Amino acid sequence: MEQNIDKGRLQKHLKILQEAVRVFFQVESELNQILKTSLKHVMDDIDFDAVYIFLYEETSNSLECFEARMREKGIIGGESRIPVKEDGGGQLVDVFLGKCPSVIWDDGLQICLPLRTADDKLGLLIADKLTSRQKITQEEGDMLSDYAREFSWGIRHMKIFRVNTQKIEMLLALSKISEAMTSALELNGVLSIILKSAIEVLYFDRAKLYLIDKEKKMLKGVAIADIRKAVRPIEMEQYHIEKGVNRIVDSLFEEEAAPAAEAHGTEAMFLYVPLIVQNARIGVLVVDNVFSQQPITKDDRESIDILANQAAITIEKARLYEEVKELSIRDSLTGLYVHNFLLTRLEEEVKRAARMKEKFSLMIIDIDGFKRYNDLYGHQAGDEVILSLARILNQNIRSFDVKGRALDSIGRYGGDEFVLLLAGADANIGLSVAKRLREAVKAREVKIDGKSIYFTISMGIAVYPDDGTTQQQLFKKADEALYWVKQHGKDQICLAKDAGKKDSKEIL
Amino acid sequence: MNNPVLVKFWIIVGGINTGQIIGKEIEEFEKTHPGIRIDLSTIPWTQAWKRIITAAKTKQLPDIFQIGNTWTKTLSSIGSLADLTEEAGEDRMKNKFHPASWVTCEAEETRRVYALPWGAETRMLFYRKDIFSRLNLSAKDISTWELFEKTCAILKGHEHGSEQVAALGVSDIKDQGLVHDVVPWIWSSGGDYLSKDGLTAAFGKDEALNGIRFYFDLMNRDYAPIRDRKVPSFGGHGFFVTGKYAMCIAGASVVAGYLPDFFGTSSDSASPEIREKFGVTYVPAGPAGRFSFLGGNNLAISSRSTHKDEAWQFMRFLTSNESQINLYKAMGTMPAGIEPFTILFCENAEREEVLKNTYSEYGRSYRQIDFWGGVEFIMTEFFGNLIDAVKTRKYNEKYLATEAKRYAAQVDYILSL
Repeated sequence: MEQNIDKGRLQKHLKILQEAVRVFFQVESELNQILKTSLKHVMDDIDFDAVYIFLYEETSNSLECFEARMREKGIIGGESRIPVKEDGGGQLVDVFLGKCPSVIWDDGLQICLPLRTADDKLGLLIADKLTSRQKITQEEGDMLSDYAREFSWGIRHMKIFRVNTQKIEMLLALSKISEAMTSALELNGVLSIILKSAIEVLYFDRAKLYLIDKEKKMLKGVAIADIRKAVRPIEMEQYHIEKGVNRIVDSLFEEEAAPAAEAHGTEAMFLYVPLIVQNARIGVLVVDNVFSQQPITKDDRESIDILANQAAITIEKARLYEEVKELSIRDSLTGLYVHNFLLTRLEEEVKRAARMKEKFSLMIIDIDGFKRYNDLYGHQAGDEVILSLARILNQNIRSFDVKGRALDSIGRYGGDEFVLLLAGADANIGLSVAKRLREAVKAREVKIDGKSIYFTISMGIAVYPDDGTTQQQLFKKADEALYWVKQHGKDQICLAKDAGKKDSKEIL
Repeated sequence: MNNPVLVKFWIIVGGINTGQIIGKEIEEFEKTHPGIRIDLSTIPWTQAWKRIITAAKTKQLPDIFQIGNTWTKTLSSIGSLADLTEEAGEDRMKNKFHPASWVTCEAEETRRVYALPWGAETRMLFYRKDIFSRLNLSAKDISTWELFEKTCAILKGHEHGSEQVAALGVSDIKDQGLVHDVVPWIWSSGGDYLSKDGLTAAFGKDEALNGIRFYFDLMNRDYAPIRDRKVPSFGGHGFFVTGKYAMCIAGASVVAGYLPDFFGTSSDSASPEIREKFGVTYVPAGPAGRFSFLGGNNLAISSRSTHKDEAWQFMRFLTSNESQINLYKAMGTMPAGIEPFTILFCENAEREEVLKNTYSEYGRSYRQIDFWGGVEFIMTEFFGNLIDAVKTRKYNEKYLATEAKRYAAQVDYILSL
C-alpha cells in the first residue's frame, strides 16, 4: 500500500491508525466502547459512508453486527446477523472462514475484510460508499486492511485480557469462598455459603443442594437459593438412590459434571455436579440458568467444579463436626439429651414462648422404686428398664414440626430421672401426655433373664408462664410437684399448681 | 460549573439508523439539561436479552435502558429495576399511556411501577389493493378466518406481472418473532398459551391447537409458502416492493421502512401510488374474536443507579409528546403515549382508523410472568420445529399434537420451579 500513497496521506493514515489501535489497550473500557471509538477513527481516516464490525458469536454460530458508524452522524447500530454455514453461507461467510481473502461487491461500493489472527477467526470489517455512490479505491481498500489487521490483534488482545481478568477475579472469589467455608463449622452455614457463592459469585440463576442420607439410602434435597430469593431449606424432596430414577440421582453415577448427553433446549441450561470426598459420593449440586435462558459454558463448568470440590470437603467436615457435637449432647446409654443440653433447649424454649406468647410444659419423670431393680437383678437390668422408658418417651413426642422447627425434647436428667419439654403444651395437654405415658409404661413388659417385669413412673409438671418464667423457676416447680407425688404414693402425676393441695391425688 | 452527571443509556437497535435518530433526541435533551450528559450505547435485538440479563446478574446495568415489554416482571423480580412508583405517581404518568402498554410496566400484584412505556407495536393485515381489485376482492373478504382462507385459495397462483402471486408472506425465521406470529391465532381461536392461573402451559389444549393448526396449515397448503426459501427470511415485508405476496401481517414501524408515511399525520400523507396499491385492514377474526399481537418496549432505570433523578428526567423527556412524535416520524415507532398517538393519527383516514382500533381494541400483550424468557424460548423451539416440519413435509395432525404435548411438558416444568 505504501507505494501507492503519497507521503502526507500515509503519515495521516499511520497517525490515525496508531490512535485507533491505542484504544484497544485502554483496558478499563468495554469492548463495544472501544470499537465505537475505533470506528470513528476509521471514518476520520477514510472517506467511507459507513463501517461495520461483525463479531463471531459461538452460541448462535453467526456473525453479529457489534458496532457500526455512519458518516452523517454519530453512532448507529443495526440488527443484523449472518449465520455461519460451512457450505453455502455466502461470500461474506467465505471471507470469515478464510475461503477468500476479501470481497468487494455491489459494483465496488462495498468491501468486506476478515478480522482474523493466526489462531482465531474473529469476525468481519465491512465498509461502504452506498450514499456517495463512489467506487472504493484500491488505496482505500488497502488502508482498511491495515485497520482490519490491527483491530484483529486488538480484539484478540481484549478477549485474552478479559478472559484472564475474569479468571483471576473468579479464582480470587473462589479463594474467598474457600476461606469462608473453612471457618464455618455448622452445616447450615456451610450450605448457605456454597449456594450464595453459586448465585452471587458464579452468577448461576439457581443452585440446589442434595445430600445422601446414608441411613435411609436416599438422596435428600437440603437447601436452595436463586437470584430471586435467599437460601432456604428444601422441604420434602428425596429420591431413592437407583440409576434411572431421575437426572439428579443419575448424576451420582457419572464420572464428571455434565448436562445430559441428549440435552437440548432448557435441559442444556442445567448442570449436575456430584459432590465427591475421597472417591465417595456424598451428594449433588445442581445449578441452572433457566430463568435467564443462558446456556452453561465451559468456563461455568470449570468454576462450579472448583466450588463443588471445596464444597464436598467442607460439607463432610461440617457433618463430622455435627456428629461429634451431637454425641457430646447425647446420653451414651439412651441417646437422649444430656442434662446440660436440655437446659440450653429449655432456655431457648423460654425465649421462644415469651416471644410467641405461648405456653409450654416441663415434665420431670422418675421411675418408681428404681433402686429395687438394680438390687434384685443387677445394673444391667436397671439399664434395660431405663432403655425401655427412653423408647416409650421417644415414641410419644413430636420431634419437628412441618417447618423443621424442634418441638418436644427429652433428656436424661441423671440416674432414673428424665425431663420432657413439651412445646406449646398447656397444663391440660401436659397432663394428657403424662397420662398416656403412664399407661404406656405400665403396659410395657421388660424381659430380664427370661423373666417378665413391669415398672411404673411418677411425674411432676410445671407450665410456662403459669408456674414460672425462668428455667430455674420451672425446674424447681416441676421438681416440687414430683416430690409431692413421691411423698403421696407412686404411679401418679401432679401439676405444680396442685402440689401441696390435699386432694391433688384424687384429681390425677 | 460542576462536571455534568454522566448517565449511561443503552438502547436496543432495530433499524440501521436507530442510534442516529436517538442521538438527535439526546442532543435536544442535553441542550435543555446542561448538567446531564448521556452516554449512549447500542445493542442489537439479537443480543439484547443476553446483554441485559448478564448485566443484571453481575450488577452492571447502565443507569437507564430499553427493555422488551415482556421483560419488566422478570427483571424486577430479581431486583434489577428501580421502583418508579412515586415518581410516576407524582407526574401522573399512568394516565398518559395506553392501558395495554401501561400494564407491562406495573407489577400485577403490588401495583408498583418499574418502567415507562416507550414504543408500541401492533400488527395489522396489509394487502395489495391492485391485486385484490383485479380479482374483485376487498378487505371484507379477509375479515374472518373462513373468508381469509377462501381468499387465500383464490389468490394462490394468481399471476401478477411475470410472477405468480402467493397469498400471504410469513416469516420462517426461528426467533421470538415466531411466537408473536402464532399466539394471536391461538387467542382468536379461544385458546391461550398459558392456563388462567399462569402455572401450566395451555398451548396443547384443543382451542389453542385449532389456532396453531390454522396458521401452519396456511404454510402447509402453500397459501403462505416457505418451502421455496433457501435462507430463512421475514418474507412478508418485501412484498410491497416485489408484489410476490398479496398480503402480510406486520406492524406500523416495519411498514414505515417500506412505505414512507403510509400512516401519516394527515389523510393524504402517503403518495398517491402507495395509496392506490396498498391497503391495510384488521387481522381476520377467529371463532373467539379478533386479536392482534401488541408488543413494544419500555424504559427502565437500574435499581443500582446512582443517578436515578437524572435518569428519570431523561426518561420523562424520551416519553414526552414531542420526543415520541419525533421518533415516529423518524423511524415509524408507534408512540405508547395517548396524546402523541392522537396528535399523529388525528385524521379519520381509513388506514389510521385501522391502526387506532387495532391498538385500542384488538391488541393484546403477553402476561407478565417471572419466567417469560423460558416460556418464550420453549415456544420458539416448538413453533420452529413446526416450520421445519412443514418444509420437510413431516407436518401433520399427529406431529402437531405430539410436539405440543412435548413442549407443554417443558413449560410446565419451568413454571413449577
